Amino acid sequence: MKKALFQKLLLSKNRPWQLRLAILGSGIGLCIMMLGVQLWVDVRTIMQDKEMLGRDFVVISKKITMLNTMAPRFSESEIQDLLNLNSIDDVGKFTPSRFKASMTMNAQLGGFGGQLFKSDLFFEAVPDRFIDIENSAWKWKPGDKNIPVIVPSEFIKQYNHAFASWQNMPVIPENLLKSIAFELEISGNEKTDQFKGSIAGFSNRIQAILVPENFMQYANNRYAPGGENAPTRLILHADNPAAPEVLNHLKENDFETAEEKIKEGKTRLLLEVVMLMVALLGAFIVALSMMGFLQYNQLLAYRSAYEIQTLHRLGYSQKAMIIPYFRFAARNLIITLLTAIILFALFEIGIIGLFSQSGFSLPLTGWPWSLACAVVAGLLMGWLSYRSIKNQVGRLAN
Amino acid sequence: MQLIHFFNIIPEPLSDSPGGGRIWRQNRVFFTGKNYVVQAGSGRGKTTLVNIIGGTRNDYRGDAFFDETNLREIAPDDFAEIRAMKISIMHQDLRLFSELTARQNIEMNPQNDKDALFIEKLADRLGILPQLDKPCGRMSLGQQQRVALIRALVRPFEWLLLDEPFSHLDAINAKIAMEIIAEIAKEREAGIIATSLGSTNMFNDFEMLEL
Repeated sequence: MKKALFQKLLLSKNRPWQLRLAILGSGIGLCIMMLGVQLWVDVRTIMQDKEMLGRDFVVISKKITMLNTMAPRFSESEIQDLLNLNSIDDVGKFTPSRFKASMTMNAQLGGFGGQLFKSDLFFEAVPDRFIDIENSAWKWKPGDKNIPVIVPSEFIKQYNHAFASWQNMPVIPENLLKSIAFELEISGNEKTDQFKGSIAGFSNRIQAILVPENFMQYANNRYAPGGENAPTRLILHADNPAAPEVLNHLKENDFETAEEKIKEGKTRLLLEVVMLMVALLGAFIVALSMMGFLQYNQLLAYRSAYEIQTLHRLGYSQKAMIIPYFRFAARNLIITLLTAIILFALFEIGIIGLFSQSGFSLPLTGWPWSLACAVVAGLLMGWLSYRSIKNQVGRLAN
Repeated sequence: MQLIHFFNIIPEPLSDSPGGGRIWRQNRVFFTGKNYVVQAGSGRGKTTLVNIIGGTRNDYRGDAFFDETNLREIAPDDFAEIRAMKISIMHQDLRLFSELTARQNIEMNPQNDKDALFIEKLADRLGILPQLDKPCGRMSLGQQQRVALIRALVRPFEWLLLDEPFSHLDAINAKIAMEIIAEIAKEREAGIIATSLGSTNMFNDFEMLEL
């Protein structure tokens, strides 16, 4: 009874409509912040979720002009210049094969007898640290007759979808292809040797047939000693291949690269920036509406200044008078958080629908981050509310 | 809390005045169980005196002590506890909650040690029993002053501070109020410090002090 009167005296000057608007505003702000965080995390996840050669690898070469008769090569100083750029962590050289190689595939496939096909091949190699392949088969040591290779997946697609169907040949799924060994004949320097080849993986990014680098060195020395070693292609590892610093350097030096990679990098950067802006905008709205909240609490206490002063004179401690105000503020914060979370969940369902309609699925891994951000904002707000109420009651009591 | 000791106190707003009375700028001790009436004209600091002892003003020079404790060293919430248990104050501006009834106002004391029957008996003697369940905002000033008096008396105290307690009462009601105050203060063995703007005839057995 007395407790109820005590609360009534302190909280009687509440204006429900002002409060509801403040809650709705803060709820919407929090929700926007949560969406921004979620999409930001999701975009990063999508962009990181790329094939074998990771998202930050770019292959560059020099532009071929009318003046070149041979493929232009990169000098050591040009490689060093690239390494000096802040955004570039690592540079790897492509080593081309200088020997002759041909493969023969024997078909015990689909009832065909005899040779399936025979083809001349050209290999390249890059340092192992540029190859992100979880396959124990990707290694070679002197004396091994088995050579693992990595093949552009485009190559297989062309074979399966264009060549095989047109020539009435059996199609070969990638998994099956991995289990097939083929004959490799390598020759040069008046020597000819037979090897077995097997496919260790497929790359979407490097448009070349790769063999382990140590095999390449061994074979080049054995079948074509004393050739030119400077690379014609380089592979870069960059934080962001679309960084202006990198783009400018490539342009100034007439280096070429796969446009697609750079476009993707630019898109990613743009998306990340946009989502970050959305999250920041949300945080800004949250900050503004939180200020509104704090002021509402202070105003509520201020409107009861006489009651606070009188109760204090009667012998009620400031501590006791802070409690109803803080409870009230905490209740409103919880309502705000719930409003934001419900709005967020509705948006989330809407977004999933929108994306799946356009045949695209978001990983939706970002929502725990959104929730964490909202909870952190709520706790921060609770703490700020407590401080401001404490100060306000202290000011008004005497 | 046996003694209230004022040592060379002068409120900041009065710091230009020379003093010359028996409290400001004096060494003054109030003893528990004794009754004092402080008499002075307007603007001499009667309410300030009450608020200094009550702990809600500290803009004064000099020092005040409860026994050995300097009032300046008591934290606001500790002072509130002292007011709740040891010092009962009837303010000149009454400090009632106008939207609450008389009874609710009386019950808003942090602690009451008298029951509802006792409260009704006091209200009856003071002639406001019929108004006990009316909001204080709808009462006359005289009635409100009697509500404030009851509220100050039904809570535990060692000291009772009365700031112009009879300013809105007629002579008969003032006399009844004085009887009740004396009874209860005696029962509680409490000291009284009252202030009065004019005549102090009502205050029998009070030591008269000029500010």
